[in-house]
Amino acid sequence: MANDARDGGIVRLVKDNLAYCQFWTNLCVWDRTMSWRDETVYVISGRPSQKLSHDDEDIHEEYVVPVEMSQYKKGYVTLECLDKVFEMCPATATRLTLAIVSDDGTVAFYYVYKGLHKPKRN
Amino acid sequence: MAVEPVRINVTMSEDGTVTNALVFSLKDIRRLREQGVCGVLSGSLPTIAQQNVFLSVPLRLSAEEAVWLLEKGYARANVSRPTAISETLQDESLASELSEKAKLRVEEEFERQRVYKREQHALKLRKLGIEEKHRDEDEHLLESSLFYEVMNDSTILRDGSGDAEDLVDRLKAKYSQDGNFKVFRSLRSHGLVVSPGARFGGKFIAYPGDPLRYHSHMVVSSPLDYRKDPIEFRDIINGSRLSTTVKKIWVLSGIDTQERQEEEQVKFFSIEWAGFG
Repeated sequence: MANDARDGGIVRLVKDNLAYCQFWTNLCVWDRTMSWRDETVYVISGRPSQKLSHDDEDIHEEYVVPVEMSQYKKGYVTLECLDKVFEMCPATATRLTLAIVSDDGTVAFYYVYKGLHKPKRN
Repeated sequence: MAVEPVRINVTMSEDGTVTNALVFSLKDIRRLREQGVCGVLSGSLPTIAQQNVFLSVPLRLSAEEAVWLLEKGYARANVSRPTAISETLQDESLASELSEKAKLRVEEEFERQRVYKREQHALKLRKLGIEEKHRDEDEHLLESSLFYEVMNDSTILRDGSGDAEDLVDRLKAKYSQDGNFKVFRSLRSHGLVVSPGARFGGKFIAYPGDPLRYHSHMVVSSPLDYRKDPIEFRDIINGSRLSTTVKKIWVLSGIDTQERQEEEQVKFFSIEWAGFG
């Protein structure tokens, strides 16, 4: 199951999407994973090709967490789980990027900040 | 605090939840506003009920706002149960006594108006130099111009609220366990002004200051159980796509009951569409 996700499943899909649709570089699926409620949470780190937000000072490493949006399967990612993923990332990480994969292959990316965060400048 | 607390009228259901919290005094409404509690104006005119854009007093507070004010000591409440009036009136002798009193009050008020109107009429005629004649139609006109002023408060509720303190304590106890209230309190402690969130699909909307001066920054969802409830990604997508397009951020809130400190129990994660994908 774990290997499936890495090789042919959503982790590969998200990594490819970042590489070939968003032109990210330095992409790396971490060997360090987290077991969570019979599922495995993976982290992909990488560098975007351009500055992602007006609030960012420069381009920096982003931490992407692929998850599956499925209508019929019960979800497993809790708020506690998000906190644990934050703990896996370096202390300099200001945010996670949730990569939500739909069953038609679409990937939608969402930033997750810990605590209350101001909306980005436009 | 040296200032007199604000007065709110709360009705409470049998299970101890707030069904209605109203503020009638303009002065109080202004002071609440300065405190960062805005509520929603809900008063309309019975004759033009279709005019529902610019409403007036009373100010309707959310349950969270009302309990928060009580807890902080900024307000005192007249708590009543919606059934209180009908229960009181079940005592038939009391009911007939009250109804007699009411009839008497109306009669006294009418008599006062009659005397006043006759005086005014006589004055006016004298000024015009017309001789006063007794005419039945004048008397008829006078009778039809008498009016009865509808009081703002109920005498039954005013006199029969002996157990108010107990009810306030019950309210506070009930809401101290409520997730929405904990989230509300936490947002307030971050200095945010909070208003109802249904307009943007959340539980609350949080403003950095008075809503008339600032756009809101956050749409806050109803709290999840921090350890148990799975995050519904569909909700994240719905919530944060909308929030991001209206220049806000979607806030997931959670309650961790295993946390000892009350303030530490509420957890927030802010979610925003990344702008790609």
